[in-house]
Amino acid sequence: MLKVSEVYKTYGNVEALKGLSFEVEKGSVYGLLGPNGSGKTTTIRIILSIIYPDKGDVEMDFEKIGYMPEERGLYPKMQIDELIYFFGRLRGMERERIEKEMDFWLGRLELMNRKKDKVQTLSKGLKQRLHLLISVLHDPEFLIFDEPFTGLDPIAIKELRELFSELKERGKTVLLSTHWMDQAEQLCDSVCLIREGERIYAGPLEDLKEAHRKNDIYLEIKGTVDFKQFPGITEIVSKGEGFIIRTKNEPGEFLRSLTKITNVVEFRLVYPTLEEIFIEEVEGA
Amino acid sequence: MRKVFVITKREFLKYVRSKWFRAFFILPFLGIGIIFLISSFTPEGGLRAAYGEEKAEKIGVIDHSTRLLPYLVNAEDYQFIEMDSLVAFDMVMAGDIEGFLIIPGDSDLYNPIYYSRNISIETDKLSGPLNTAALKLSLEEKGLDASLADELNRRVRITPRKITETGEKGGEELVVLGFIMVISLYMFIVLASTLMARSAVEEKLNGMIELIISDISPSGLLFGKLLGVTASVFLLVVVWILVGITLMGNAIFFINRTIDISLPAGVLVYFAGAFIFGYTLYTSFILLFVSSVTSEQEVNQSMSAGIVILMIPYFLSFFWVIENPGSIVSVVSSLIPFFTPLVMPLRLSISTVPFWEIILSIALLAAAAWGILILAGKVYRISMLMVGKPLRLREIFRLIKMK
Repeated sequence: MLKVSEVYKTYGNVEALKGLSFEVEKGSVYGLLGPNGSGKTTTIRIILSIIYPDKGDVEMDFEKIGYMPEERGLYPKMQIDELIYFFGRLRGMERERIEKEMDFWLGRLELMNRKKDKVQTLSKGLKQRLHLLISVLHDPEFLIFDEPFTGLDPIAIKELRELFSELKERGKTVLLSTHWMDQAEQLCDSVCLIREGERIYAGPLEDLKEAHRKNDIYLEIKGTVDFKQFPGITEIVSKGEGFIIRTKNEPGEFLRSLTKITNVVEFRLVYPTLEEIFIEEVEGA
Repeated sequence: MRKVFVITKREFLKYVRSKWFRAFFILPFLGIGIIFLISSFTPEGGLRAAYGEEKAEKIGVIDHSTRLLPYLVNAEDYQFIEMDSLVAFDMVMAGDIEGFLIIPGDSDLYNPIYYSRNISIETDKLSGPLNTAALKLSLEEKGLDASLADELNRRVRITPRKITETGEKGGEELVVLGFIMVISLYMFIVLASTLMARSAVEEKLNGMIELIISDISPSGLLFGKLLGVTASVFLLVVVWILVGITLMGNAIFFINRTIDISLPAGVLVYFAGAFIFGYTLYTSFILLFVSSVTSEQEVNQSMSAGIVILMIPYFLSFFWVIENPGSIVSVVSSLIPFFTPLVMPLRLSISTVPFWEIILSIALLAAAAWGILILAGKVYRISMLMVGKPLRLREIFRLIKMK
């Protein structure tokens, strides 16, 4: 578990964090979400003890942490296997274990045939994979990824997402800092929304969506119905085979009235996307 | 500490495997090889020729005055042969003689002209036998004995001997040794400090500083680098010194002269201290400026500040301290920490320095090295994660004040 409590950090006259608090449960994928300059990287640096907070506490019971920073430089003239070995040794791993893990991950990330190449010969996407390899090499319980999707093509993003799911299945705890809301929505169990160093929301993603639900309904019916006869309906938009209907009343009440006059094929609540919530929260606040 | 050694090993191997290191490593061996090669081609062969004990050069003489030549005596380096100017020209071209002298008629007797394919400052050495010949001629013309010239030409030669509490020591050798120490120290400090400065910001410029300092503290990283760079440069310098000693040993053997190059143990201990603290001081000082750079170009600019300061004691040593080791300028400068590592070892090797000056200078140097190292470590830790413009002096002081 990771617990960040009332953390403050100031750089000169800039207040980077203003009493930020959140908790990350073991085995979850947690999203640290916010626009550029909102304090995500500062938060991560404090968690990793790279910098220290002016006030507040960070507690965690993870012993081994893997980290993939936003800036992804590596020693360009080093051979890939030498680089992996270097980081393995830095983390106290024995030679045999480094070789075993290296071979596994080089195979898993399709880098095996580049093992003896120099880092500078790799493309941006392959360097990203190598960074990923370095972050998971020592089998950490807790992984921190800072803007992992930046600069990747859609295929690489998909591969990375699959890897995150794999890590989650293995019981790893992941802290994902990003402003890519669609990716966060697909991966995260819980999120912390921050803006200008302040927390807007922290908790399960489902609760956030529920809180921002606007009684929008996706409806598919057999035949035709005059929706004007139902009170409270403010907006009707066609979508595919059905409609998106916004109502002021309770959706359940609308469904009961509807089933009396027609056959309902599909009826489900429509939740706002994380991106919509994020924009609403950030712009609205 | 294990992490520090991982960094040290990488730094050491990085430099030892680099092309420039190989070049510097091979250079002294290449030098020895060339000397042996040259010596094997000389008529006498062997190292004696390579060390300069060559055959006397043949110099043609065309004496229009007809008065000077009889007094011109063959010297150690030159053999004078009377000849005609046309023959002389051909012989120079054929390589039979090194060159020829034309001594003008009476009025210009003292302004001879020397013709050769090779004109160098060595040519001036010809003046010696000519002056003696001219002196002998003058003496004879004034009715005096020409052999008086040798007596008149005799020079006073002082043999310097440095006296210490433990006895006397050779003088010239100590001056040379002092110079060698200053040059070696200067070379080592400049080379190691500049390498260290580049090395310190390598991760920042590569964009991997955040990754690496999530595994090791900035001070651990810096310490590991310091050890690695020092070890690699030390290896290089040790090789050079060993090669130098070998060459010097051969030279001494071939010139059949005994040279006392031993230094008192105290001076050697001081030299080691000056080396360690001096290296720490200069490296830390350069780091103060280099930590905040964001490009390779800025590294060079930032380093120049440190190098310029290092140049001052270097020139001071060569142009002032060597001639005036006990002057107030030498005494004061040897107590200023930035100057101490170069000035004091030189003073110690050529003069007798009061004990309190020795102790005070090393104490001030050690204190300054420690202080600047602490400050540099602090600025390094904070500025490693900074982006944007390099820091100004005022901003560096602000960082130092930060918690």
